[in-house]
Amino acid sequence: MNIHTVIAGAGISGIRAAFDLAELGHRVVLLDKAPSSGGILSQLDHQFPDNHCGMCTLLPMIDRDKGPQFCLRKGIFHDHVTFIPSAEIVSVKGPAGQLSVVVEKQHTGIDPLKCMACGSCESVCPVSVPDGFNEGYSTRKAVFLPVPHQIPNHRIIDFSVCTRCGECVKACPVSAINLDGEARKLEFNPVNAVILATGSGQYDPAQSDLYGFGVLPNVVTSKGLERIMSSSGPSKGQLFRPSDNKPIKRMAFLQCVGSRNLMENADHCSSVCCMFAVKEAVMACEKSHDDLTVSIFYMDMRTFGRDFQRYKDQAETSHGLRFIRCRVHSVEPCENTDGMKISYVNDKGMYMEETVDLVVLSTGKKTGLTHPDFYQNEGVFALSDTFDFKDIGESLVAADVAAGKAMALGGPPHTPEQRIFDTQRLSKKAMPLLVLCQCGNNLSNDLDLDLIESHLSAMPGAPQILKLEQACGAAGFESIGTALTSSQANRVVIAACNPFLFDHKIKALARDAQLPDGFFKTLDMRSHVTGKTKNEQTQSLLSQIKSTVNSLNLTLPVYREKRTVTPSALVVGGGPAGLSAAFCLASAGIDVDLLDKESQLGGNGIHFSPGPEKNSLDKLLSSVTNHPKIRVHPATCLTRHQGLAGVFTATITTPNAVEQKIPHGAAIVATGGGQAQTLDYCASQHNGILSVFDLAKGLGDKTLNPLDFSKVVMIQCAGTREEPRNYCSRICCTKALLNAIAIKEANPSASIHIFYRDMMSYGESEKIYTRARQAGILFIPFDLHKKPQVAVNNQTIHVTGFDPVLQEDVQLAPDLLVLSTGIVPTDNQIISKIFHINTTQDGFLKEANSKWRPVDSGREGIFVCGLARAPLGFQEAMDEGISAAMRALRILGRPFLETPQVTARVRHSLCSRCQACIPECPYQARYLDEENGKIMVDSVSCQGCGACASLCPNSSIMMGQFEEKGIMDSIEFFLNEACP
Amino acid sequence: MMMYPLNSPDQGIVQTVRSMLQELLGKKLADAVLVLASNPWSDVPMPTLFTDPDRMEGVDPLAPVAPVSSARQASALTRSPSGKTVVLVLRPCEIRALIELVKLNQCSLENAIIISMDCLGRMENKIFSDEAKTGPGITERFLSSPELQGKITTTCSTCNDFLPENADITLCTLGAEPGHMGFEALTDKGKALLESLGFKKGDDLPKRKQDIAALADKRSLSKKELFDATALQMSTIDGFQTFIGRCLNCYNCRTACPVCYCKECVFLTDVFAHPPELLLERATRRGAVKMPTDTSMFHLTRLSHIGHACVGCGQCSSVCPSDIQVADMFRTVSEKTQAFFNYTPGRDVTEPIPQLVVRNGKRGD
Amino acid sequence: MSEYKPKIVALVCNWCTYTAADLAGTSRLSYPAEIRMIRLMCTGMIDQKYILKAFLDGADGVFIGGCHPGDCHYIDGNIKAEKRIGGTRNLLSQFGFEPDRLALQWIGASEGPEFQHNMTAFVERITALGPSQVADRMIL
Repeated sequence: MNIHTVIAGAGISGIRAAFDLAELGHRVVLLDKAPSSGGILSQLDHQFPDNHCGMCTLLPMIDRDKGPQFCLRKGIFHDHVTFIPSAEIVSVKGPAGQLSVVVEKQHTGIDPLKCMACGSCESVCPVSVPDGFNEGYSTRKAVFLPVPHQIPNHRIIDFSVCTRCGECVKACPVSAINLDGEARKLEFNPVNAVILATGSGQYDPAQSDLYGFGVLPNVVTSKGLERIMSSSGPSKGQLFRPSDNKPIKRMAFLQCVGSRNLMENADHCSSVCCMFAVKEAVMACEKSHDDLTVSIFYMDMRTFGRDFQRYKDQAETSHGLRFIRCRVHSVEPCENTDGMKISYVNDKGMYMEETVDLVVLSTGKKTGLTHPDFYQNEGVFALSDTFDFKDIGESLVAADVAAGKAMALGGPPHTPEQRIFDTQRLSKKAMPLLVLCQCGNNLSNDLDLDLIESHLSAMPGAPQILKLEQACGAAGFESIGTALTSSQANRVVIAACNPFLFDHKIKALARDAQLPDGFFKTLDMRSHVTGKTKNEQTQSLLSQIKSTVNSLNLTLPVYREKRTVTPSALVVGGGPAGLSAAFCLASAGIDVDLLDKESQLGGNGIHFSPGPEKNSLDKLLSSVTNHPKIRVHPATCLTRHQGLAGVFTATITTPNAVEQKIPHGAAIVATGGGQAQTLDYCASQHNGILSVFDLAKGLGDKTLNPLDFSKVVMIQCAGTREEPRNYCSRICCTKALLNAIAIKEANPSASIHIFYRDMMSYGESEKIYTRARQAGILFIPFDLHKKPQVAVNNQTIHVTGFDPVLQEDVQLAPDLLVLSTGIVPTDNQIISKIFHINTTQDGFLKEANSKWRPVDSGREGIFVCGLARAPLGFQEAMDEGISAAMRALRILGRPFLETPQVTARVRHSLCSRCQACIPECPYQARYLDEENGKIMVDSVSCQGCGACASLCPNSSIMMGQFEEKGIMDSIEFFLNEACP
Repeated sequence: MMMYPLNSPDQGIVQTVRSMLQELLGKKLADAVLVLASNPWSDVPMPTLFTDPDRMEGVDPLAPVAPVSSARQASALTRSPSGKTVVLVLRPCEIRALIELVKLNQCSLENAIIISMDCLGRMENKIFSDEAKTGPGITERFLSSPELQGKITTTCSTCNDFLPENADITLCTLGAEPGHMGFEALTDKGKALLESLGFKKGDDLPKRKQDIAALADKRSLSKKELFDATALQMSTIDGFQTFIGRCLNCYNCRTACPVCYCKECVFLTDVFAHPPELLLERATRRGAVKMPTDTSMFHLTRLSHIGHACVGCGQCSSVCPSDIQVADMFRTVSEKTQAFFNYTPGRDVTEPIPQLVVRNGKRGD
Repeated sequence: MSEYKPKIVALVCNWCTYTAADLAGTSRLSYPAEIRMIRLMCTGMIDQKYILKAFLDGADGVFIGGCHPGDCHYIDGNIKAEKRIGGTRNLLSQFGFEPDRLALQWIGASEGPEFQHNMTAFVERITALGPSQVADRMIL
């Protein structure tokens, strides 16, 4: 089996990159140094801006049958992804495309092939140490489950604390424990590429004695608070103070701990901590039913994501969060209580003290992380800014970019497995085989298997029974295979534990028996069998078996539509995002039609002044225009878009008004945006008032001379970050800082004042902010209720603003006033209608999910990126373009799209065509075929949720393995159970 | 309010309306008329689709009988665009059902003109037929005889939704002197139609408001009594079981129901086709099971499917071969369902069906 | 008379509540034996007939467990379910079924303890209500 890519780091980016490649048909090894997958997210239950989980949204949506459909927090299950925990890459050698990758897998003490996850070892282990999963707020043994809910759920031994007393070895019923093993080396060769997605670390606040972390028990990190509040945390979801488990009444968040601190050599912003704090504050308020006062001490609230400002505002109004702009200089214990005294100087320059029950340190990223030495090797790709904290959506985009690079190294084309089915066997009436695992005879004590056997023989469609000592081992599967060969059984139920684990083995059985995967079902005896007495458990298992066998008997072979994919893409918009999307697709061998309504490609980039951004855009422009796979349609409008994922048709109107039809398999919408206009601050009343973008352009093309300006005032957030345009445009602050520095450097005598609300110099842009301050640029913060006032009298601009430090108004008469007006999307009103996709209240194209599906539109096969989706920087837009292209390749990269097992189907003979199901579908997968008068299901978009089926009054919708009849029968079996 | 009085006592109301509909077809103001009309082979008038004005001698829209809900027939006529204008003469409850069917894409009102009436109720077929035999002019006798009006169905005598909504024209009998009546135009379409038929705007019927209020009071009172009693019976399983005890699972009620729109009822599909083993197991559990089974399931499922849409026409009771007053149960339970969803069936085609409230908008915002 | 043991049908969503149940199982958090669990992909898949059927067949309680609002794998299946189940509860209450016999709860994937707690509490609630009036009757 050829491994295409080895990915180091099974956090969210690593998982995404793995799925990207797996969906392209490549095989991937995903490993993590940690004994579990999920990275930092395994410890975080909820994410802003919606405070939801939704990690499962990341699972592949095309060809869903490649992995069992389960919560991604449980683990990674996909036919093409092999996850290796507790492993690291130790060396990478050879040329790209033919790498030899050596991986070291730690010895974890327990043989996963033998272990039955009974937990006997843990119960006898005498060691007790703080549990890292709960950030030390609970304890664990030396042999433990690193993440309690994860599968595989074999425990591991932490040899750094193990005393080697040997108790666990004695306790293990299956001799699975070996205390003396050594790390193993695994070699993968040849491998096309390596992706490093090792992620960032968290700053350790114990390094600084300012805030008492590690000394005061009620000073916690933001991650610590997340664990304290988590349902799987130490207090099972209750919000208690660590020192005494008492409720918390006052809580303080201290922002920028380990970030934005020159003294700690941390001249960076960690980007996510502000929103993280707001989210935790909201969750804490909700947990304590708002009987809690939360204060957030901050320098700038960096709500720079498209929807974050409203989230913060909402949190402020509905939970009364206090936002206090200052750096807290110390946290001290209060006498005789577990409370703490916080002292700070407020924005009026007054010394203040407050007492709180809990201090939360918003710890930033760890610095000083380095890549391994093979990082520079050909074919090794590290995620951009991999050591930085990033929003989930951005991490996924970065993962897509890295996966794109790995993909570009080639590999076999996607050849979907050709399955042969034994149609004769299938067409016979249902003959089920029941495999009953006795779990090494452990179960026979608890269950009366004879009784089960005798009951089952009486049921309609009674199964043939195969009792196995251990179904999950190799011998077990071999016996099932033999039983299938020697019988006519055409349905299989395997009653065992942990069905997640042997999904791929079952698929192999299905393949050999020439039966559909869906005709094999597992019954999880562990979570499904209840009861205390033998009789109760037997009854419970019996009815579960009956229900499973029955519903499988009712499952009919799915008609698998094979939709041949049109292997070409449509890209609308030739700005940075559209260009990079087109180039990525073309490089993958896909024909691209690139449309732009302008006659010149480049979007906002055509205004770039000379510099690295312009160079990179020019390079991209020439690659696109010269690419044989890309047809550019300048000055062309899209007028219509029809069809389904894989088989779309666009109608375009060329400059000479000719209509043309373009068939394509996927579409990328990158129609861009531009600077917003504002009427605030006398914007159009004086030619010395410019927008931040126009100033940048003027300075770049030298139409404006810095020496002409002696007094400059800049006002940030002009007409934005307040209703109705209540969002941050992300790039204006950095642009303003660069403008100011450019003027100051050319004209040191110029005075520059910047009125700002929160400087959004996130990430490494913080360095630009620092530079600007060092250059002598003056920064004056303002609140919405005390905005600077601008008047134009006698051709003079007058700016009056309140300086909170001086506590008085400053009067300025600049010769240049620069307004940061923000970004608005351009054509979304029309484009969203043409594509039937949604927009946000601000008119940006709305992605399916801002965290987990950042560039998917609500409709499969249509992707959104760039400024049309959200305000972004140039590089970010280019990356989103690649991300959109990678998503499109999931469809375009395969010859045909096949219907998964659990997909809605319409029984046309029953359907009354009321169309109620059409708007009910969350994936817009249902539609009325007007020509034939039939309700149709787009089997590629349908994800099998069954909302349509439960709505349909006469069951004219079938749901694969979840047929109504089967479920109704199951209910009846359960209630008939234990009847006299 | 726009009233177009009719003063032709000599001709009789039935003949006046008949002539009006004939003229309407004759002048080609519509392509077809769907209206209740008697025919030589039936002792009750049946919904009939006319295109030839000369064949309309049996037309009797005010006849106090409705052997079948015309809403279904109206839906069959307008299910897909025919390009023809159809006049639908419907009772208020039938219009309400039609509005529900529009929401379910079973029909469209685009090319329809709806004429309705103050509904004084309908009799069961047998009673109507007996009364009709006692002399000529049953419809006119009914309109002027409180005694005959007392013979309407329980559903009708407990219905306080007797004025049409969403019609273009109403035939007003309430508040008129005997033998007189008026047409009321409720929409511009209705107004134009009446005026092109030569009707002149006139005064409002003097006693109309008063008569409507009196009838509403009387009906509401009896409705409350009926609903209270039914609700009490339904509130225990034994009461409910006694109520449906004679049910044969013939599904006539669902066939007659104008809003039960499924092409085929789920109870006739494989979902409820049980193998013998399951039936035997079911019997084993309780020791006995009534056959055919799933009777309670049927009624509760129907209530959960279309309780919100029940327009209270009473057809389900009329067609029940076991004389179960299905409508009493349906109307009583549905009233609470409708209150729960804050939904009024048949009021407005744009009012969303409560079970379907999660729509695109929810996801898009 | 032997101790009353209610019969409870639980319809749970694959993504959240089922995962929580599984977590409870693997964490050895035992939940009451009276519960019979049916895994569905989504609570939005729950047909009202399932609930009616369970009660008419003698269930003493029906427990429906889904993802927290907003967490639904299928975007808003749980919200759809909430609406429909509200209607079913309203209907059943008119036929003398105590509305408390039908529960809808949101239990997230990592909430194994919540699952155990909710199940135990539901069984207690149903035990207090006593057998459903349907249980010992021949139902038509």
